[in-house]
Amino acid sequence: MNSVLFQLLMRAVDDDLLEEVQRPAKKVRLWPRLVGIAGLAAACILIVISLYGWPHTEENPFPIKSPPATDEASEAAFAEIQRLGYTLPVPGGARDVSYALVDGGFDDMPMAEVTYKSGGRVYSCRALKAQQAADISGLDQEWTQSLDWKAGTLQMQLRQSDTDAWVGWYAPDAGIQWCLRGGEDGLSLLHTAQELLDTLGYGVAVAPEQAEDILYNAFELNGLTVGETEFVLDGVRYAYRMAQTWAVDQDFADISGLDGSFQHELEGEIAWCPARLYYDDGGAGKAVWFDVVPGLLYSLSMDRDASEEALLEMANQLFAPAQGDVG
Amino acid sequence: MSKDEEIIALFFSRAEEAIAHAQEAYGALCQSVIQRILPDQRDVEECVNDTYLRVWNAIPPERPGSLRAYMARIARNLALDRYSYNSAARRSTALTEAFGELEPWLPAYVGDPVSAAENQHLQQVLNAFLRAQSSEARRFFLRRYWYGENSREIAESCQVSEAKVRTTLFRTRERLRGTLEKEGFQYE
Repeated sequence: MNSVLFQLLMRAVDDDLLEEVQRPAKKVRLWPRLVGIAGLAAACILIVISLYGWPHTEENPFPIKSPPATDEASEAAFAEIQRLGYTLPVPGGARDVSYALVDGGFDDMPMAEVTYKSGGRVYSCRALKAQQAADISGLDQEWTQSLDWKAGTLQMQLRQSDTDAWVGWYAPDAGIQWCLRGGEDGLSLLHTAQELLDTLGYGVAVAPEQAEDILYNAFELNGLTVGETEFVLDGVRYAYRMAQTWAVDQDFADISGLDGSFQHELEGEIAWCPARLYYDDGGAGKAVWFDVVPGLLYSLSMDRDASEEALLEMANQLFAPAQGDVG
Repeated sequence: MSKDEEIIALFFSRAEEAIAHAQEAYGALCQSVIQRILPDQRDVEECVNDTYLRVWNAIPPERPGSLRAYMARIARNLALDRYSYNSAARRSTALTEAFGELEPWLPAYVGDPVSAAENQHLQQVLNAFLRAQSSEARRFFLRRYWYGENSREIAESCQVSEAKVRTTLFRTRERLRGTLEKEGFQYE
């Protein structure tokens, strides 16, 4: 630890800020604690999150150019990686970028790899042409957390142990499996991966164009793997969730995580899906609905300004049926 | 009159029971703040007592809006002073471990001591950065890296998911690094 920097930083923050964060938070409890992503074993449940297209071109589906390599061997590898049709995105500001082709033991198919430093951490991103989703992390561990889900056209994977983590995504359209490693925090890694996915043209987060503070999460809740996008729009914080279920009950599960009673409880429809709406006048509210054919549960929560109209408007804006528009 | 106002009124009237009331209300908080910074229990106890003394000497003339926040801040700063003073006995604490998590996102200060101008610049940039964050992000960030609370403790006290705390901390670290780089701070 750099003790000079420690002392400097610890004494650098203004007193009013140090006091502000010790005052009781004014925010009313709205998002009950989620069940963590720990403890999920083999059960891999697929979620289909709304479909977001990615740019298709005949020549190269990924128009983004990777940054230049840093040495001769790496430059040669970069050229070969391009020739093989791989794209390995690197975030802006990355340093010590180095490309390589490695033998991953997949039927003589070379695997492309880029390593780089970002935020003081070393990351490694790999890509492999594959017929189906695969573990190309090169890590052989007892994973304590194991999530598989779908986001748009992508099949997503998250694995975490006490010492390592990786996030993978398989694009069936491109026939490529990617894997990002770096650090030991799977959730942080997922957010780093989100930036790479944006670069590749895959949008996994589902939020209106003007939304801010967009966070994409995946976690386990009551035995379901839930994909969640949190965002802020016009000062209102929303959480949009999706989870696949095999249940077909009319009394479908509420995955909003927003418990408690509300002034208003209504039944309705979002597109063709049966929906339930709950809200307090001008306060918090939620809509939960179920698309029975693909077996997808949805919820939308908002922390204030809720009304029937506000919930329905945002829910209809966000809901992109897995089976496309019907009728 | 709120509990805080009653205790502050006792301090203003120089009634010694003010300390007992402050201890009853916020003694545990001060202790937990100090424990995250000082590894030695004797130091913790002395530092808690120093906190009451400091508050007694400061009120009046000061009249804090939140006695809880005021005492937590004073307890933290006193513990930090003692941590520096006892440099020979420095051991890992919750705060230094939290700092270790933040350190990769900080500029590389290799030369000692840091110049006063650079110090001041960092202080200005850091405070401006913190004020530009959402109150929630700022709360998570300062409680983690300046008070040494872990993400579970923050999640419980702020009534949000631990995943959200970790996510927000990660994003705030990334934004901090971007801001410091833009401001010309050098990274390795």
